[in-house]
Amino acid sequence: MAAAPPAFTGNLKKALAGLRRINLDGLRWRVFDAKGQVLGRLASQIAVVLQGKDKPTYAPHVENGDMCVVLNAKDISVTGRKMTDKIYYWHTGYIGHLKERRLKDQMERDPTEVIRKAVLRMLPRNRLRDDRDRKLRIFSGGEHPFHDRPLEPFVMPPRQVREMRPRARRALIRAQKKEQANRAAAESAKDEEDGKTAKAEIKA
Amino acid sequence: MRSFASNFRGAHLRLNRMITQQVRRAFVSSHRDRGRQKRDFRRLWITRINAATRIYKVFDSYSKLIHNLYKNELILNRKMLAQVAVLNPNNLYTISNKIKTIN
Repeated sequence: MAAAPPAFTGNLKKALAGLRRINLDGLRWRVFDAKGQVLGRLASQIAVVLQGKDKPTYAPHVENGDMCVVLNAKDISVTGRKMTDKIYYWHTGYIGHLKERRLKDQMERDPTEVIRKAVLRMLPRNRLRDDRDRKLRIFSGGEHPFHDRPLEPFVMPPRQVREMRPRARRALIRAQKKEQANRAAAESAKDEEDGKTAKAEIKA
Repeated sequence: MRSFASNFRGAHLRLNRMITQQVRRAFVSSHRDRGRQKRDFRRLWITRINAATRIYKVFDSYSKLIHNLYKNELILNRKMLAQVAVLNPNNLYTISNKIKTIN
């Protein structure tokens, strides 16, 4: 919702950085909501929009992609065990210095970097890549300082979720049944307690 | 050959040895790229048609569009008619409607 624009916390400077370098505001401002989206699937859609490949006037030598604003970057989700097991590696150039960081830690440090890396690595490595990076604005919360621009929300295409493998599905069903049993037990315990207190009241 | 090289850079247009080399390279690139040009443009048209079908029409993708065109033997639509997509989007609609009615 259009919560008061002045309530945008976080570096305004970083959000507006380099906006002057992007010429041609005949571009649309597409807003992606990352809440609950899967990381890679969202990133590929962003990459397509950022390159301008959804416009019939696409030309590979001209940078004509739309501005992409991504909100709620901290609510991005990943399937499987990637939250703990996906590791970002990078080499600093000094021999033996291969550094690594897990997705979990990266999310704690700077959740916007996760999406940024994902999108940048999906763009073609050419001279337009930096300009495309400049068009991509990611915010970890839902606030952004661009309320005075004509924003267009981006509707993600429907996702075909693969049906669960039998073992995983059985585990899920077991977990659900356990939860139901717990809840039932909790309720019955509560009923017993209510019954006891009622009896106590009657006795007293 | 010097006149062919008259818009080259620096020593490449002044010194005979460099002129011969560079002119040879220029001809080779030109020959190779005439073949490439056909590939590149077809690629570009396909990307554009893909984008246009996803925006305007009910066919969700280039592949489905082409499949339907071939099924209805509308071969006259070469990829070149991505120009249609850029300039006259309405004609795209008429084409797709025609395909659907024939179907």
